[in-house]
Amino acid sequence: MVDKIDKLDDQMISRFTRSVKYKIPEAVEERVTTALTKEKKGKTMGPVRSRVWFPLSVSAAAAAVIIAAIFIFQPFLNNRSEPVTPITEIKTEFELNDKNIKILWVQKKDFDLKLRK
Amino acid sequence: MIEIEMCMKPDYDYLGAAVKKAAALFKKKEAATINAETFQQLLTPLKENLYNFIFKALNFSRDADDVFQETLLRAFKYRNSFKRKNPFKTWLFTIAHNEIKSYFNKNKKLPHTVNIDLEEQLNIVYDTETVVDAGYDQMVRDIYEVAQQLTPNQRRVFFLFYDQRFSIREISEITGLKEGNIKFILNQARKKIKKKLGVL
Repeated sequence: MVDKIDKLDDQMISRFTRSVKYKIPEAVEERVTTALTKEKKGKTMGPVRSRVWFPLSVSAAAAAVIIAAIFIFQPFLNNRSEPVTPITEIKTEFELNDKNIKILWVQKKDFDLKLRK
Repeated sequence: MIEIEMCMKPDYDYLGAAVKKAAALFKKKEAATINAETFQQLLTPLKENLYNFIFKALNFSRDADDVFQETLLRAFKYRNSFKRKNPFKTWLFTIAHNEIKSYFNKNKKLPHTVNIDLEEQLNIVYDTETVVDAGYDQMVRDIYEVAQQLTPNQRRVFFLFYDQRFSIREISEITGLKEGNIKFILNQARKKIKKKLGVL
């Protein structure tokens, strides 16, 4: 029953209710304008402050990014000066002076022994 | 051989990208804020309605002037909390409703119902369709007499619906009451009015 709204009665009640209107008294308007102006003046410092702080905060963030980048990439930069080359062969020299023999032992992937006279 | 592939490109301007992103976030935040001029533009068409609502909800007490001022100051102070997707009027009247509620909470000793000489108090404005006669004025006075006898909560709902023409859903948002409660309050008020007007 409470869901039923008689639109015609509501329209009439609304019309009667809205026919009573008041203008805002001038004194109240002035008071409100003064109060809002004071509030606005109090707020003007905010944006100026943020304009000062914003570049500083961006600079600080940028500096932090650079420092972090240096620490992250330092190992990679250091490694470039020390390239790792694969070992392709191992040479070992033997000298038997009394026999006047020099043996050169060369080890490659297939480990073939080669004698050099 | 082990190969390490770096995911960061040597030529990419990371500093510039960070600054650009920060600037974009700042612009987005600025767009969401309401400056003083925008606030005035939004407020001006609603000011008189707001004053009427507060004045009637407080049973034509002159304390309405203070409540009106406090409402506007609070609305200005917290204007950036206004979500643009919702109507500004609903947001503004929510603040007014809360200020009126605070007023009655602070002044608990005030009688809920007030008998005012409506003959003198009511400023009836006639539109072009109105047939001006004593009967019309009397009906207006009867309706306001019924409104006077409502509790402060009921009176606020009554004027939000009949005077400010908010929907039940909007009144629910403004007052925090459930839609069922609002419909009940309006139904009770409607019955009292019909009884007063001699329709029942």
